Amino acid sequence: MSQEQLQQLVIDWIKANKRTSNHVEIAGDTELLGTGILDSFGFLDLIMHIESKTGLQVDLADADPGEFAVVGGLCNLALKSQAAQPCPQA
Amino acid sequence: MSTGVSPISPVNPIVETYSRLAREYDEDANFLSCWGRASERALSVIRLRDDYKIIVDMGCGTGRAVHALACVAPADARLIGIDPAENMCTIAAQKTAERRNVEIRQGAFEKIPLETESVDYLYSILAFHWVTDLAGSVAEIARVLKPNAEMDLFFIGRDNGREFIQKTSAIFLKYMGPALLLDSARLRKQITREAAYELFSKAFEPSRLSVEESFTTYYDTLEGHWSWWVRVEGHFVKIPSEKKAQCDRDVRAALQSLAEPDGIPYTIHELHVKLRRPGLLH
Repeated sequence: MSQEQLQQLVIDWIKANKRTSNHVEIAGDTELLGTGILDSFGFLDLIMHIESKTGLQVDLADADPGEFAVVGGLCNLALKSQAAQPCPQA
Repeated sequence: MSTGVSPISPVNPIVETYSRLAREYDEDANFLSCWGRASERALSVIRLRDDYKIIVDMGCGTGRAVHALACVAPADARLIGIDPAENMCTIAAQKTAERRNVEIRQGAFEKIPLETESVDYLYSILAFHWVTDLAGSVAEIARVLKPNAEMDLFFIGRDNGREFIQKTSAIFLKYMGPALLLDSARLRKQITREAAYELFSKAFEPSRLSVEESFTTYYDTLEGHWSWWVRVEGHFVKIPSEKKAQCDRDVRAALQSLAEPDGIPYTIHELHVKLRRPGLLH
């Protein structure tokens, strides 16, 4: 899955599940936690959504807090696991 | 009087914290807080029928509600308060010692220390959201209730405390990091009204079941709100001790910035699951 595809998946989910009624544009550089767009429960649901829809694993063990809370950064964290997976044997 | 069964093991950080802070929990400041007022409001809704024989308070804490209801319960009714925190049980047992119709047991929603189909009425005030297994806990409740038993469960919903959460999440992310922050969120089960109805209707006849929700905003001083912070302390036990004091200062400053003329607002999103005998729901 490409960065663009994953980012669109994430943005669509956030638009449907955001915790604020205010109209906000969601883009790759949108910060989600401090703005109230998502809370920690929302992040749990979003990560489950990413993992179930893509098969990627979001590893938060060494995640940078600033990266984690931004749309593009969260997508990068998910895609790191894709990069870390061994290629299937030919 | 009995203080009950064998300890719950292993304790989770929430249970451990409640047990450690049981004395503070029982102080007036906590009961004057938004949570104390919400608990009193829930208690005022409870009506005991004359034919209830076994009445159970799940998550009875220090026994305030079970003690109050013991005074108005039918003469032949037995009340059983159950809580997973050992020190809470000890205080509850002391508080109700003069009530011969009250028994306190140590136990939890996930494994209720009661016989199958033995309970006429079960209530719980602001405890069910701490369960570790939602479906398993509902199945346990269904197991211990008699076929026509009744129930009132009050617990917090998905949007509880949204003012505080919005103001403090970024601070906790800074001090805890993403993994610990989400581990902390997993300690509470805050669900929507719709999800609660779906959950309970799998175990109970839908025609006997309703789930109501309310949003009540309570205003208090910073110190007033801080007094109930003891309840959520278990979420933050993994913050390194050298960072905890600075984290507390940042959180207090963030909460103070919410102040309005009436005080600092905190909105409790409460779910009320009612189970009634056939034809008596409304």
